[in-house]
Amino acid sequence: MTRRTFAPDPGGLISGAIMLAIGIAVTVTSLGYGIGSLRRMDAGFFPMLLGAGAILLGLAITLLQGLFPVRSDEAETPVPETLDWAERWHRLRPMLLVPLGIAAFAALLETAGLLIATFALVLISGLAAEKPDLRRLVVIALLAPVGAWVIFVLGFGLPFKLY
Amino acid sequence: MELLSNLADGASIALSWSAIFYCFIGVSLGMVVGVLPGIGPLPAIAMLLPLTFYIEPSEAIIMLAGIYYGGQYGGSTASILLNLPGTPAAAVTCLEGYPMARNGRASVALFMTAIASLVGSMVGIVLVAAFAPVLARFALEFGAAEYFSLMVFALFAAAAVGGSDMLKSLSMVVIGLILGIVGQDVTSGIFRFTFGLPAVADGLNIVAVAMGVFGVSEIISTIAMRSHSTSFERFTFSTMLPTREEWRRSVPAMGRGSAIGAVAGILPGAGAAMASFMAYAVELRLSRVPQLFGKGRIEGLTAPESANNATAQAAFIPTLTLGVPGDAVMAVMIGALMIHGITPGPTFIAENPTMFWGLVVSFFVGNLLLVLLNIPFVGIWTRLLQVPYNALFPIILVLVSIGVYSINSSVVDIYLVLGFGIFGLIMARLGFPPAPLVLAFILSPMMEENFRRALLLSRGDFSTFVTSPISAAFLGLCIVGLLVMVLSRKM
Repeated sequence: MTRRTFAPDPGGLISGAIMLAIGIAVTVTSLGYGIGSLRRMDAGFFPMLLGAGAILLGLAITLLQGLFPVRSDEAETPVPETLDWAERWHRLRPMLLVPLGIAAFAALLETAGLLIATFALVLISGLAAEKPDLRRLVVIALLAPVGAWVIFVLGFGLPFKLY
Repeated sequence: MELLSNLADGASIALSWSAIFYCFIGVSLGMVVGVLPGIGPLPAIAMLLPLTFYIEPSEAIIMLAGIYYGGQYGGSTASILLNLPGTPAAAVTCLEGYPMARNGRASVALFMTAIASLVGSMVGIVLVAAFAPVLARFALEFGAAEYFSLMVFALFAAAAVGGSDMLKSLSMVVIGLILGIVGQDVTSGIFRFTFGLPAVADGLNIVAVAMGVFGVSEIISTIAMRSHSTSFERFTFSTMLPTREEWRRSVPAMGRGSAIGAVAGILPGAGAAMASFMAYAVELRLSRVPQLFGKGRIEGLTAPESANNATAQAAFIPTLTLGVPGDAVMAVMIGALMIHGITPGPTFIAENPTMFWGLVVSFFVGNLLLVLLNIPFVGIWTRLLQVPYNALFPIILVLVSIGVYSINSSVVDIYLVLGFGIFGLIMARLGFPPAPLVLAFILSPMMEENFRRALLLSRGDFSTFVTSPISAAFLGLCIVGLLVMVLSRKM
């Protein structure tokens, strides 16, 4: 047996809120592009439909998964996972360091050149691993720019600013 | 025979040394990314995409296609030996393949997988050769309304297959369609959702979107999972040949699997994962000893393997003849063709006959190469699985970043990968599947164009979508599917 009861679920509420926010933003923006008529649509018509679709889905998710999620009688309530700080840091680290590494690559590529940008990307993102092997990481970080140069610049002749 | 002369034309392209070389590169790379868990063919295609600017378009597409179907072969190796599916379709391979390996029959499982893959691929290839030109001629009759409904159906199917949570799958379809709108509107010239950025005036880069939501977010979540240090059991690779009894059970299973896979490949939006699950379910249903499944039953291995490889080949039919890709990888493949100035659609085969038939012949070449790569060199592939992920992922990130930058020499595209990576990660945490987004993204401009044109032709009358029988059939299938799902309470 499954039944729906009022038991707000944070995941469902966030999911619904994201869809609602996207839907409202898209609908409002599309109105500014002009709707036109069914016979001759303006640039805003199709996006407005999609925005409306997103709002409907957002409402459905908020209601069916956020406020009144299905509870099955057989399934035992999941025990909330308790995380110590080390575990939390371990899970958070890749979310910070991988994007940071890519951002560093993007910022350095056209200023400091391909070699330094690649070195920075490998070094920063490599630290995201649970127990980074620093010596191996430095070796990879030094070899990767050389590899990138050989493959992409020498091999395929892509125009890169090297340094 | 028209077909034979066409194939001869194709052979002249595909059997040149350079084409065989690029085919070899493609299938080997596909094997590598298929074997390594959590990479998949998509990043590999995206990585090689910029490099294809410098070679012949026919050879470029031969190489990219090789990555795609090579990945299907590779995906099963990791499943059998490690219980780690390299691709979603390979998850089914784990069910019987891993128990077989634990029973000391790893070599038999790998050998039969290669044979089953070859059988499935061949069925798929024959289907492409025979059916694609026919479908292309049929598709020439498609008007705007039919195209629009076909794409609605493809997206609906992708959402239905994409995950257990239909509301969230459909949400990703809508987000993908919205992302596809970004850029200059072809009709009015208005810039939509560009936020004044000139770099996205021509639309978001498909590779940036796909690499973000698949590649980067996947890498981050793989690192965050604690143990990906694979405990590797030493399997013996003594006898490779299956018993007579196993052959007897495998052959019909391969036939059924190939048939299921071929049908799934033709339907846009269905995909290899669905085909292998269905093939497995059919074997389970037909078996007189269903209680033995899950313990290393060979027909439960060969049927899904034939199915996913048949799908991988047959998926080229809708992709090339309708311009409607079946899954996210095919969506990127269409993006690749467009970069080369080739638009897949009903006129593709008529306008590029040598490219199309060259590709078909290269499928034969590629599959034979894959069997040669697989059977004698099993040991090498298993050793590849022991490369630590911590050493691998920074290099993948380098390849992704350089690859995405070199498509347009645009730093903005790197930041887009980053943004979509974080977005994809958040959405994946909340249970939104990424595949429908990428498919919707590539279909969005075509969909809007056909929607507007259909209503322009019908003077704003929506009944145009149901008065055409083809269009009505596609929409009807969606409604039936929706009803089935509501009734079975999947919503």
